[in-house]
Amino acid sequence: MGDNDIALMAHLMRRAGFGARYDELEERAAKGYEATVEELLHPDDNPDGLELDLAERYFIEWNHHTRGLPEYVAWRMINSRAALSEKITLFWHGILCTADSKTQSYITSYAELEMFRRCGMGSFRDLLVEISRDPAMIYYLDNCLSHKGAINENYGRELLELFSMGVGMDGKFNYTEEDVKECARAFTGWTIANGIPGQPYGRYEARFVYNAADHDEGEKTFLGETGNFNGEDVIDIICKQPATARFLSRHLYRYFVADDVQVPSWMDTPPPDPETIKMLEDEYFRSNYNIRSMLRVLLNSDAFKNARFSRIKSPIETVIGTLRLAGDWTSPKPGFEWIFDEMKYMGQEIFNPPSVEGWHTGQEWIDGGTLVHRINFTAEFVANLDHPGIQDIVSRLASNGPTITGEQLVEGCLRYMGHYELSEENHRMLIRQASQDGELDTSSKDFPERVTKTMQMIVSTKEYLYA
Amino acid sequence: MVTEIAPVTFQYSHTIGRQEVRSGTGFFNPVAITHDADSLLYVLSRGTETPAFYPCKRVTVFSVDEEFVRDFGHKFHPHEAVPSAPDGGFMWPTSVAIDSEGKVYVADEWLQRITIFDSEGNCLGSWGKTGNGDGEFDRPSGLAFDKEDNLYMVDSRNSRVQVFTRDGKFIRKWGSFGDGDGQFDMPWGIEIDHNGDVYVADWRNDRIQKFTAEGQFLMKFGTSGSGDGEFNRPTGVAVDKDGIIYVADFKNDRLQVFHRDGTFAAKLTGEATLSSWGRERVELDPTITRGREIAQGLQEREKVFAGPVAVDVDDENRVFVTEVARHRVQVFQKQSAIFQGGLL
Repeated sequence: MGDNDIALMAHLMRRAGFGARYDELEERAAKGYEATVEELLHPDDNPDGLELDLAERYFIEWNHHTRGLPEYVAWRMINSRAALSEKITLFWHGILCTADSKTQSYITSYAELEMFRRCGMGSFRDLLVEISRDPAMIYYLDNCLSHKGAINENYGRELLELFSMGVGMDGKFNYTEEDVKECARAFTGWTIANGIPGQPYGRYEARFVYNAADHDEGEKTFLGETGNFNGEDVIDIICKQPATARFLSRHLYRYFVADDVQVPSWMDTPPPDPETIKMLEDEYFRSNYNIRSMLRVLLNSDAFKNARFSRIKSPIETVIGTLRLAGDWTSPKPGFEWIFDEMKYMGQEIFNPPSVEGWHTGQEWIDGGTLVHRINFTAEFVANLDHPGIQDIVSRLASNGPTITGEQLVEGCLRYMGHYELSEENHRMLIRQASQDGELDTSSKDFPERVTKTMQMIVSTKEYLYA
Repeated sequence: MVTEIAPVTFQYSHTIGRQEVRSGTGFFNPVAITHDADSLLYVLSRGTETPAFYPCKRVTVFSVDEEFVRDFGHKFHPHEAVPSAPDGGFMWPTSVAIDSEGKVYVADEWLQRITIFDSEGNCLGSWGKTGNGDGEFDRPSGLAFDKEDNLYMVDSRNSRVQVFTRDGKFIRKWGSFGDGDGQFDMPWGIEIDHNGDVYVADWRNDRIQKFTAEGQFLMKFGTSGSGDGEFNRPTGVAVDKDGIIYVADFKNDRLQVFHRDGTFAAKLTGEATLSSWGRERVELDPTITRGREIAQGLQEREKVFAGPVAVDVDDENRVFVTEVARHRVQVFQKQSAIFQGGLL
């Protein structure tokens, strides 16, 4: 097992998860890349290592999912071995968007995330049916206000524009305004029950109701097909479209492989890697719209393996990745709300995407304020020698011998933090800084601090912004 | 020869409480309940860390008829929750017990201490030391007093029960980690019956164990599952004067009832109705009133237990079930199996 294997595993775990400590990388690399991909693709067949009973004992408000749900979701991301399950849940949360700022019901929003966890790697067709029945979505996009004879187009429009096909592809529109209206007609009657008020006993999960009496039974023409369509029929037609294959493939590529332009530009901007996108489109149809199959193709592709450090980490990836590296929050303790706040200050709030379009990604994560916050947060954590993950890095470096050079220190930190790669200039600068006092005595009292200072410099580089 | 055990039946009485994130009438994530010699009930709210919700971690005292008496205690913010934090505040409160003088003892599993209040809610001090030696503890959970005012504590992460004097002097201990007789895995609730025998909710072993006051193992019942007599993380246990055993079957969202020999007797899944405090809140806001009028399936959904975490029973055989996720107490009256006289 060479450095390359571990570096590749670090890449996989950053993308298909939220990063991993070096001991986990060694363990997974020993098992093999493809075997690890399969393990990640089948979370139900492998223990996730989460002790949720214990977490819910101490954070008892997580019980029944009535409160503290952003923290609960973060807890799962930090501690689950089923990393892709959590990552795909976040993926769909950023595409099939609802926001608690409108729904005001964590228990219902969390049920949506559980649905993503359950269906997020299955059939895209089933996922679209589930999201169309999802109470948070029905409320968020007003389908509960869409009635036979008086449609509200909101859900019908976003289902086409942002959830499945996109406005256009290769410079051409994918659907017409008439299609939007017909789509909305097909989803009349897909509504929610009148809910129980949050007082006096707290929130209850909202419930889907199909109201046949309010469904428009009339004939509809949608994307060139005519019939007495209901919502599922419309989804079947959507799933057959080449535009849907392109849209889903491009989303998967952007999330797992490399940054791309924002979604509204996709109609006129070709995908950055047409060959890989085509491969995903083909797999979409071959597998009968199976997301797991598409992910398998993607994660085993050379395009993925060679795409290291080509995506800017999202705030959630930054915070969760840092906590996983540090080994913090592996057991319950007070103060967890603060972790959620950190992501929020960096520009990404779980359960509250800024709009139905989701979060804009790539360089849009970064501005003066969020950059400073990101670096300060990360630098603070890697400097804390109380964290077991940081102690582990110090121990590994100290085990190299009685002394190490400044270059060994820098290389070791980069390796144990997940095989990060720096520009030549930054690399040289860090080595110069680390070497200024000559060789380092690994048994000296200030050695741990020299290690953490080097790590602080690494997390302050531009390269560390990338995954 | 007796071939049938008298059935144990219950009449739902009423519901007490509502969600109240600050103080006054209501609870916020209640985790423990007990009663004093005057039949006043004491509910301990674990609350939340959210700064705006203050004091939220507190003890609320009230009558069975839902007359608010007082509340006391307050919460620390996480950065204040250190061993030197002043007495009277809570971080992760877990249990409440009352001695023969009416003093109130609250366990806090983060601050690792027992805080003592007088019956008016004035803080009298605290004791406790973290560790695994005699008299030290790690994450104290359930508390219960015997008739001699000895305090029995579930020392959860040390997998044992410890017995203390009221001022914290160690008396004895028993238990170790495991799933054998007399062993525990993250135990939680504790109860002492009228004979002085001790019952422990062996949380992660999904069972109840019974001991003598000295710690001699007497019996166990329960296994993992959701069938009758099975548990999914039992949290609280209570025993009435007839020896009937009540178990808060937390993650199965039910109360299970057992005969004194541990055989299954009955299960309750909740009958909640609108409490008086709840009605006061509802009537303050017409939108809530209207919302309840149009809510579909309100009665069926509102009545069931959600996170029944603690149970208490008084000498009148009234059973009090505390629900952490619904911030309330459901009250049931055990019906007598003895013929009370009168006409057929």
